[in-house]
Amino acid sequence: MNRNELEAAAEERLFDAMLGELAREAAAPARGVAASRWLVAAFVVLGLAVVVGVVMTSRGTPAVAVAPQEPAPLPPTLEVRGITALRKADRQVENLSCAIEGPDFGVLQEFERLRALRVEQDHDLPHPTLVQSAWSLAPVARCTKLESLTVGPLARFTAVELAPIAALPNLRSLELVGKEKVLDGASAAVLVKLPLRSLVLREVFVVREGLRVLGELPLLERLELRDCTGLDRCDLKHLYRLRQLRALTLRGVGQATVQQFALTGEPVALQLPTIRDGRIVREVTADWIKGLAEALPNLRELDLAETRIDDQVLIALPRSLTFLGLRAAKGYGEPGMVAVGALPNLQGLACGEPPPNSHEQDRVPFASWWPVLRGMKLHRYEFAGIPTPDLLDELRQQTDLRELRLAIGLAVVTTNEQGHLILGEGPPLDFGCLGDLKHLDWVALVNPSASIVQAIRRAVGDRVRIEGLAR
Amino acid sequence: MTPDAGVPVSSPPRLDRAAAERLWAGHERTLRRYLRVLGAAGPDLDDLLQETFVVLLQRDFEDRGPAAAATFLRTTARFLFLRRHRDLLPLVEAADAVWDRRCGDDDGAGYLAALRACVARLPARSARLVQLGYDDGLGRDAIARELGLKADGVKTALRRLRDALRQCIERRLGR
Repeated sequence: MNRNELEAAAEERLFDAMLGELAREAAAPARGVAASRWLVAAFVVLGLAVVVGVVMTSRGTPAVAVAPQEPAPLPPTLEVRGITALRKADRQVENLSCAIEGPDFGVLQEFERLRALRVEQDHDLPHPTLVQSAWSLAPVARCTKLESLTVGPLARFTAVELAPIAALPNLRSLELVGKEKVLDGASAAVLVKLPLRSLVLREVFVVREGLRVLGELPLLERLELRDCTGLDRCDLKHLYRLRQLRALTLRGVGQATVQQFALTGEPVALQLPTIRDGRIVREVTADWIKGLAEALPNLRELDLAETRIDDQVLIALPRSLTFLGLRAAKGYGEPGMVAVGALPNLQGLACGEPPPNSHEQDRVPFASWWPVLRGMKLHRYEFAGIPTPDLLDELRQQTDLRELRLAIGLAVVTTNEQGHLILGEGPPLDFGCLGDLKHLDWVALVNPSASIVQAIRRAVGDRVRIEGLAR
Repeated sequence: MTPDAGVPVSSPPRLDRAAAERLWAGHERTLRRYLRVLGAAGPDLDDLLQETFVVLLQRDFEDRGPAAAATFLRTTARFLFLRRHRDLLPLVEAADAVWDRRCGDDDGAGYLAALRACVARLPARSARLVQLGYDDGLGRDAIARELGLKADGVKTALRRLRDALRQCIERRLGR
């Protein structure tokens, strides 16, 4: 086409776009009712598609990689910072974590005994090299014993950089971290060549086609999608094909995108539309959860932290769950909590107060958890928020508790000289009740102050391991 | 227990909540329109739209007014479109020329107003044809059933309708 023809075609598209806008304007008043009817119909169709999908996937077992044998426990991690230190490191090491100035990983090919590796660019080192040119994980492909690989934030990352690891025959655990990474069809196609059991994607941009291809990982038992962007446009039902999945983490799905502006501290919520051009934006819904329960018979652990859900989602949860994560989840209420309390096999629960920047309609009536918890016998409990005497009362009832994790929230306590609000941990509490929990053997505290650690140590004595974790 | 672990949370303002929401609400429609002119459609268009806003959220962005914001968003969307469709640069350049000509001054508000006035003067049956063809997205057969026409008749009617509307727009825009 010549330039005139191209412009004529663009004119046509502009005309069509404008005409479409006008037609939608005219139909807008009637669309609410029509759309909700269509939504119901779509859910019915989605349900049918799920059933058909389950039948189809269960009939044909893909002839992909054979599962590797269970690995032996790893030795302690050797942590290395800087390329000089990496060059000096013992070549016989099996478990290595290296942070270097730029992703110049050539020397890694000499570490042929590696079984676990974490690589990332260390921006804290002086004069880090901001690498924009091509590089790859090709040296890592020589480490054929590698079972676990974590690739942290790097300057640039595409399917091209990822491709060499497809040759690793024993890689069963992969973690990709960083906003520069995109899980598109090409990247996912690399991953499905691996015998992966565990896949963690953090802050990765997930493209619809990428999630579809990800459904072809036949051995995957654990999938974590944390703080990934783009998930609300993906069709979550592709996950139904991961028949071996035991643990699924979906963090931050189907909620408003919240941007914390650094200068003002003002949280700004940008609510993405739930329907675009008449199509459903996929999110965690009751229908999806029902499909999940039907399609994934092995699912035992489900984490919906920071995700917007409603009571119907919780009512539809599979009864086989042994762990449920609802930390900072929004939008549910008392009926949902009661449904969680009725899950017969639930031994672990993570819940917490919704973030203070939640929309009013998303706020969770958190106090309603207490009577629900009273009827449960938990082995593992995770709480995020400001501890209160009510919380400690409930903990006293959890006589089977073995693991406790507290992410202590901060309460506004004072204002400094400049008029800035200063956050603190609130009034002191008596953690003596923890000393009565005979099975308790592990307490994890996220970013604790020294005074809280001391208070809990006094309560539980030396028999309980106390760990401080970074948030 | 102690306030000493506290962190300050208030500092000079940059972009307040209302401004950020306005940014999203105020530019999505125009951006969608621009991407349509480039040739994006369906899921591809949705992806590009959201990727553009992801870029906006991930970058330091200083709001210098609607015009600057619109330019920033259009440039970003253009880049993302070309990243997906590297071989379409001539098409994009042609689309940009059309955009500058038709929508450069007002993001297309004048063009849309002219079209709105033209559509308002259509007979009811033609307006219904616009509705069925452009909002409901029905195929020719379905429209034909709805309006009691043959499929070929729908094609002809739509072509005539478009021609008439385009002439009407040109008259109103004085071109």
